[in-house]
Amino acid sequence: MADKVVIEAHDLTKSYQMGETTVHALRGVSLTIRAGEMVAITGPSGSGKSTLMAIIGALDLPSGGSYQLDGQEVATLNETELATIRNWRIGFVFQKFNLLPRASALENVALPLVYAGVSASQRRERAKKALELVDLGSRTHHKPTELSGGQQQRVAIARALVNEPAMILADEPTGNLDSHTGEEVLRLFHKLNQENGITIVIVTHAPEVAAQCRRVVRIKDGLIESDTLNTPEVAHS
Amino acid sequence: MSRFFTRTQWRITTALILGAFMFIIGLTATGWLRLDPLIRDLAEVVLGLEIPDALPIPRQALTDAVGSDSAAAALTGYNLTPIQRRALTASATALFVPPAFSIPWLVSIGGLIVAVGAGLALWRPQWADAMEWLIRIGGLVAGTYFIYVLGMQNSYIRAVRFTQYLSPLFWVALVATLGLILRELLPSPAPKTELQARGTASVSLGQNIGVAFDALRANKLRSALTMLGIIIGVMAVVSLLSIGQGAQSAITQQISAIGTNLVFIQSAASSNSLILEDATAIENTVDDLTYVIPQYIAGAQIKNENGSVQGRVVGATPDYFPANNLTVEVGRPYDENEYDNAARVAVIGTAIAEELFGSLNPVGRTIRVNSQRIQVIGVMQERDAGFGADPNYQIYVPLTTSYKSLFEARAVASSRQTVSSIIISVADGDAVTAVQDQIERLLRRRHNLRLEDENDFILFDQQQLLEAASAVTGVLTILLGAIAGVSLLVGGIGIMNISLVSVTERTREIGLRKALGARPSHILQQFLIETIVMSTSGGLLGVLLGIGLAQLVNASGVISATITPDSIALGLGFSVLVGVFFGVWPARRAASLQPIEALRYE
Repeated sequence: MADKVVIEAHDLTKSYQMGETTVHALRGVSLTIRAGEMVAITGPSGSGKSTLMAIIGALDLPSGGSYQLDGQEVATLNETELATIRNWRIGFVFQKFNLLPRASALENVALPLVYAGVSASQRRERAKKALELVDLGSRTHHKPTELSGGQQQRVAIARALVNEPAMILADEPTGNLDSHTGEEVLRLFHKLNQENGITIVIVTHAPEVAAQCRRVVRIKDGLIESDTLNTPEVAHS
Repeated sequence: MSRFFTRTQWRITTALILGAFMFIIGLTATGWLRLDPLIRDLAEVVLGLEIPDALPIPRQALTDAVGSDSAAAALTGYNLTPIQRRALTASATALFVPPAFSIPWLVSIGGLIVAVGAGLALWRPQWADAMEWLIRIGGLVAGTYFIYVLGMQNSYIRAVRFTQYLSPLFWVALVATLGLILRELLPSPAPKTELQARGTASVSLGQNIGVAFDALRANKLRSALTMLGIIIGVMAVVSLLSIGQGAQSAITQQISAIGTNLVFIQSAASSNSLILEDATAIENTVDDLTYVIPQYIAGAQIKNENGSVQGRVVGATPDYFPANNLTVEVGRPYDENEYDNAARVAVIGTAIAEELFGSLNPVGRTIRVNSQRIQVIGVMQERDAGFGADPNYQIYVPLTTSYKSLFEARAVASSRQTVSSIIISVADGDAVTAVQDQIERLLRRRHNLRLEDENDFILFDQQQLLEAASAVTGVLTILLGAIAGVSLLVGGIGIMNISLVSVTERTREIGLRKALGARPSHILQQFLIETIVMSTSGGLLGVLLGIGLAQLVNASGVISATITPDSIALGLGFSVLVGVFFGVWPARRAASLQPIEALRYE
């Protein structure tokens, strides 16, 4: 497919000052991800994959190189612009779900729309739709504590979807789940990728999660070690 | 939105205009610029404010008074009651505080700071952020004045309420203060790119307030304890100001009740220069006097077979009763005949009647004053105990009796009968100043004072007495308010403390919100509104409790407390400002957290 480019990173570097020493977390990463792909970014801890995720997610700026997200150069944006692009183009899914404990599933899903300036009635409608997409249409008014871990992560995925982002960026999405519910969540990602054509980037250290993505990018010592295509052996639901 | 101006430029331009306006208004208030008559007319036409026409003075004279250096002089010659005169003088002068460093200068300087800051920001856009602070400081300076007007000016001017609206400064400062609060609530949007045009600059207030209440509910006890600081502070402000105002109006009423058009003469400190003959001379020389009442007041032991009381003996003429609007409730006052004969008769105060006679009717019975037998002929009406000696512990005797029987040793020296004071009632209210001058000349001549000598007596009229008293009670009110304000400040620090804890506790939540697209300004709003919600609900509760406390004080009957809209507005306004002031720092801290670090915070 000659799909549109979502992520176009060129020679990204990132270094931190840790006391006396300078840590080079990224040493020149170039990466292109097109719309409709499902990519795993993997590598051992300390490899720089978290740093790469932060930059791809517009949570942090690179020290050098260029990064275009959906055609928009990110490295030159200010904080307000970064917030806007996160809100508009990226849906985050975190290892620890990060739901607001006092808000209902519906309110949690609608949160990005609050910052997008969507009216209250539209927020409800769109949040409901997103919850239906993750098969939680019947649990809209439950608080996170009343949901299982797998359900909580699905609420988080609905939240990532609700503002129709260019991609979903998932950081160890199965890390806090048992293997069975982890499978479920991965199946959901597959479904969203294949049926709805949503671009998905999963950052994980777990080989069995990476193995289920069509494309696997391995990071080591701040550089791309390999960039391979899989034939995923996942069972379709 | 305009094509020519970005939103930032609009904001800065507004600040520029507001600042320049404040600067000019401030200057007029210092007396350097004379725009007040114009502004007053504008206020009337545009804002529909009216000066009641019930005042017996033409509008032009009032305008002249406001525009003149000596408001009092401009108001002479009109038939005003002393209270009207005082209130008008005060309000006219309030617009023209002498051009020393004074509060109107603060407004002017505040306005200048705002205008200069805004001008620089327009000139060099890259300075806009730094200038924002200048604009804030300027606004704060003007806001200080707003509080000053609410808190102090009004406490002086009670008789004519509309005077506060005469002051354009009041309106400017009000707008500036509200603007200051709004500036903190509104984010600073600067959409240059398509990206910035997306999303929303500000989350709806309802949404923010909802989130704030949720957060407060999450920590009920903590929120309640924090609010308690504000509740106590506002309660103290409202109740103490009410007590202060109550005391003030009580004293004002007391003095007004003495009667109008009175002139008082006292011996200067530590001299017994005034004598009975002075009073006689005044009566014989000065025209247009209704009464001249010499008084000799001294403490004495008042006894009968039932007990003994320390009281004050007021020796005066029979005119004393009508001149002071006093009624003898039981029996009668002493008459001219008894005065001439130095009869041993007395009218006694209610407290003395109570203590010496209980339920018996004292009229016709005998008391002993300094061991002298005196017959009670009447009981005085109950009088309000203001500040100073309780008038219900007084007895009233003819002055001649004081000299002849009671205080001969102290009051009469080498046939000079000294008096404590002389009260003079002037027939024509407008003649009071002229009469004072005449009396002053007469007494100086009688006391053989040379040109360079100072008066050995003190001469003042009722209006001056009123001014002195209300100055004292005004200071008292401010002092009470200030003490209460300190507790409000402590409450504010409590809010800041809890808000900082809350920011730390919710670091991950802040990180999440930022990851989902919350701008720094959204986070700032969220936390600022949280503190404002806390301080304002505390303030509302505090006002209710303060009113309750003031009513309780009233019910106790010791002091009368007057709850005024001013004190309520002051308490509430302060609580909101405390929320803004002490909320900004924690909210800024929250807004400036780095999203990636906040997300990883454990």
